[in-house]
Amino acid sequence: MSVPPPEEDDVSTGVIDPPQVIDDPVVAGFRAGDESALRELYQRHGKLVYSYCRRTLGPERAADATQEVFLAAWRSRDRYRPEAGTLAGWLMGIARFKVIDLYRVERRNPLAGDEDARPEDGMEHAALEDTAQRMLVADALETLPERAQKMVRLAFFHDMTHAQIAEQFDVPLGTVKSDIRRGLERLRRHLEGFDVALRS
Amino acid sequence: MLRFDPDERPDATTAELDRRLARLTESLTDEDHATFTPPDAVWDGIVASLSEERRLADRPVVLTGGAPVQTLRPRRARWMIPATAAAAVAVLAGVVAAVVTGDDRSTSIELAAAPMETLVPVVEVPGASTATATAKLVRDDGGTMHVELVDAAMPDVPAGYHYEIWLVDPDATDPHSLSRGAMAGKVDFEVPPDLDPADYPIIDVSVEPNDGDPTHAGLDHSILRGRLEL
Repeated sequence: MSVPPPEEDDVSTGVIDPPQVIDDPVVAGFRAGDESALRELYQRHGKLVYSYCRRTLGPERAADATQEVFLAAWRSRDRYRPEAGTLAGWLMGIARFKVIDLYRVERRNPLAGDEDARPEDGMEHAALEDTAQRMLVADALETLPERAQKMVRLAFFHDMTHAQIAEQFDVPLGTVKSDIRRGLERLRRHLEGFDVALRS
Repeated sequence: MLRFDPDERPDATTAELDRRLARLTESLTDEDHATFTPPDAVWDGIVASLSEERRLADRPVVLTGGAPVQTLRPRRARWMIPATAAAAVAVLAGVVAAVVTGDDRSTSIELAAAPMETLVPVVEVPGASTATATAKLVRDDGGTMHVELVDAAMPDVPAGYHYEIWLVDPDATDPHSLSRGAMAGKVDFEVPPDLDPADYPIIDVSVEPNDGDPTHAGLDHSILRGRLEL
């Protein structure tokens, strides 16, 4: 796979985990038009995109919709900026567009739709968008290191202070802070990727 | 609610993201965590589409006049390659050349003409009501079919959008993109040889978001539409 060096402006200030952002050869390959990188990205994120499409459109149409999401991403790959957000978020932003589009077309044109195939018929746009973001966050949480994942969940779900979490894990407070901060930064970048797709 | 690190002073954007994250995380259900592996046909369909696009990209662009030609990536309607049959299905692809002709096509035959109806697209287009054009179907002396827009006048397209012209079947289930871009005066689009205009008699111009999505954004995005009697 041919991987070009990162562009200089990829190294922007305030970017979380800059080495991860700019050094992922798969993302660089994708932007450079390497189809094997697309394959790799499909292996990473195809399940998430397909699961969202399947949940909102039903299994029959999820396959076509997933295919279209990745083709749309491929065709607009030069517009994806790694520093603006994660590719997973960007793909889910595109998927959300796709699903809302299909709902819209079918509402206008009942001939095109198989009403029985849509498990969440009548989902409003806001709900479609929310579902995409929740599935994105659920997926992203699972990609965090196990300890960071647990700490973030405790902070969110159980309203625990950092000191309480430090006590529970028997680690220094600074470790808790850095684990949670890094975890949050990663999660934020997923939402940022999602938002970039919305604006594109 | 998430407790922030008291040492951290998130800026407004970060604080907004964290509020969303907190809301989303708190409302996660088991269903949000449930994932399914896509069938192999999904990837096979992607490979088939990419391969077809490469083939079309290598095809020479047909020019029948001296005016600038806009080439397009072949665009694919949502029904064109069902993933379930992707490996076996030959890909229908949109035409790649928009052709602007001169006046030398003396043996062309006009097969049909229809004034286009001006519609109000859901996207706000200042001056949308001034959009006008007449659609024609013309067969040139080589037998190639063309859709022409004559006396076309379109308001400026809003930022982030583009105009796109489509051939649409009567059920409006299978729109085929012909071209995109500005349309003024007389514009000529070659009909793909595998498309029978009799099956796609509706000429539609839509206001499409620049979102990378090759499908028609919906009939409520149309600004002009006409039906040819064939």
